[in-house]
Amino acid sequence: MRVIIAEDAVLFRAGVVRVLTDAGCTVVAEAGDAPTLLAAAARHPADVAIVDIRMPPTHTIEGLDAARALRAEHPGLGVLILSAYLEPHYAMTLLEHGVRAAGYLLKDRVTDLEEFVAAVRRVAAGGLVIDPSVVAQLLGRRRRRDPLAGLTGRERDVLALMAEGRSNQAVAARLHLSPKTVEAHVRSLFGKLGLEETADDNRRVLAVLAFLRSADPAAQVAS
Amino acid sequence: MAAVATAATGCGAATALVVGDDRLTDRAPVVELLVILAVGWSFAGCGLAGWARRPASRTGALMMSAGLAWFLRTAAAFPGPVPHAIGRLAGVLFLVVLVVLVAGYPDGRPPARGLLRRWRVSPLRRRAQAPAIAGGVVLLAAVGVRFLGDLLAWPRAVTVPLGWLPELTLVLWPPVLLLGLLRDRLDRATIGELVLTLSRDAPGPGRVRDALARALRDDSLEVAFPLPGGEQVDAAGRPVRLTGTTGRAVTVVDRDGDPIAALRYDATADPVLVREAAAAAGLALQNERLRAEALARLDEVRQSRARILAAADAARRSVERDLHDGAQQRLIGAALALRLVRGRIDGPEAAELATIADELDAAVRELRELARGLHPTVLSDGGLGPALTSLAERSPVPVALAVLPARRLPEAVEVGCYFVVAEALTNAAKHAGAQQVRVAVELDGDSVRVEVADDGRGGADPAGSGLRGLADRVAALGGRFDVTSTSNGTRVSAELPCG
Repeated sequence: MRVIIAEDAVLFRAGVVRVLTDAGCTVVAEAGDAPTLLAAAARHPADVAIVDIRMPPTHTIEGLDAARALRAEHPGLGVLILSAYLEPHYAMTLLEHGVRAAGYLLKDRVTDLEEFVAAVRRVAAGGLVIDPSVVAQLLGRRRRRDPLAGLTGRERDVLALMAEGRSNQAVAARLHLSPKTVEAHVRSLFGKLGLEETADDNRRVLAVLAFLRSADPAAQVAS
Repeated sequence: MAAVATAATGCGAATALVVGDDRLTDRAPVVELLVILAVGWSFAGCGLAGWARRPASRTGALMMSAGLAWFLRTAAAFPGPVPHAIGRLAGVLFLVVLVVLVAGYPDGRPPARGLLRRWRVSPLRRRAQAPAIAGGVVLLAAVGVRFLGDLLAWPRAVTVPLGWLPELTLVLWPPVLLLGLLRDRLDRATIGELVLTLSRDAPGPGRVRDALARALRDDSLEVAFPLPGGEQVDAAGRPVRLTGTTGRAVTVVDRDGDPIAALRYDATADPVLVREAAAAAGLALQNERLRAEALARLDEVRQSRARILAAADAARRSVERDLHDGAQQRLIGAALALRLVRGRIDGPEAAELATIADELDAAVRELRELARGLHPTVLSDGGLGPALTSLAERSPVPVALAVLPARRLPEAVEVGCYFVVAEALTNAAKHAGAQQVRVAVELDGDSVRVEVADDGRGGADPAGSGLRGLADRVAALGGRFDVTSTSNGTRVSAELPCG
């Protein structure tokens, strides 16, 4: 697996390179800012780019803007954002650019080495990855008429893992359930939330996130 | 003295006409006598009155001179070459005096740079000169018409009445000149009116200026108030500087030895009149100066408060950046290094390293929340919509985001709205035990209204540090802040200008 890394903190970047190399990935290019990243992506074919959201010059959301450009110029390249912000807004912004091969992880998630490498592989393979903390913030929102209140504990677990971008099989493996059981849970909770089922796992993530993010999910159910 | 001399000359002229045989005109002697006396005494009498009332102006003296010259013309009626010469000279002198009179009216000093140029200077000047100019024009017209009648040999029924026109003009002109001369005196009567106006009208910024402008008939009048520091402000407290320019004069009004106001006005106005008007308005000017000074100070304080707020926000943002790019980055790097080391060793040390790495992770999370509380990045680049949605997601109390602005607002306003909502949500969860909070941010013309209403048990203390800080922040942005807290719930609202 070929990886490009864009990160302005050199020591941290070296650490990430090390983690990936140890896991058997090839780091084909390293960049310290967005223009260098775009140039590297043009020169070195890669499967995934790991991009720090804060980069020079303003250290705010340059990485997100670079991700948009990358996805426009290299549709086959996955983009995994390493973010300093626990903000669903930015995860949604990333997915608005396209619902395949994208990820939004908090930066400190990197220290969970296996999880991080697995996430990089999923994005490289075309999947979506949303940080569990981001999903937790969406699921944890208190609502007056909470559509999530009707879900069983198991269904909530399934919903959370789905929102993080996992397929039914991955959810089944995670929860030690059979794929058939997971499918049943998914059908049940989609029915309760009034969501349309879709065969595309990535579209399903987007639908769930949008549902959770909407100002008043109860109104959406009613409509 | 002058009156006696004029009367004597008039009598002499009458004698000359009666006894003299060299007839000046072909009109009946009695009518001729009356007309000549009327013209002479009109000039002499009105001139005398003008001299007495306006000694500073030479116009009165010039008019008397014109009267005398007019009478002396009649010397030509006496026989002999000397009286004849005197009479002719007096006729020329009369014309010269008239020209000087018109050119120098109303102060009696002909301008060095030409009459027309002076005429163009200002409306005030034109108004003052009108009696002289108009009279001169009418006189020329009357003479012209009589000449035309003679030239074209019009019938006597027309030329005889026309023949009286120049004399009629000369009789009526002096009273008009006198009235114009005394008008400034009449203006002075408006000072009494000015005092009445100032004592009667409701006070308000600029009121004294308007009253003075009316009294001096000068719409261009400007008033500035000196501050102790030497700068000047207008009635609204805005900085100005009045200096004299071409056609504009400046008078500083003192009260008890201290300058209280500076007036800039049309330079042709009578400075004595301006000073009298300013003195009459002294108390009102003093009051307005104090008000203007207070307004100027208030404005300074307001600006300084806005600057302090902006500086504080900039500092928060800078700390937020340092936390993200400094401490947090290092902690994540350290945790990563620890985990990499841990992967290579076994035994109890590995577990210890894992614990330390977990601690670092916790520190990173805390720093992230701290940085977010200082300044949420999502507010700067996403606006109020995403930022308030994020607040709602984090709130332990259900939040209904009822209305959000569709467009971006000035940064300081967005930050202000954000902190109002953040603080009110914290209070609703921590102190009010609310079940639900409604948040609305509505644009209304040039202002934005943010309102956070909960259904808790109330008891919010507007003097508490959180709400006090919000009130200060809103006030620094020139907005209004309001908290109502009853047993039915608390409503925090703020209105911020965002033009």
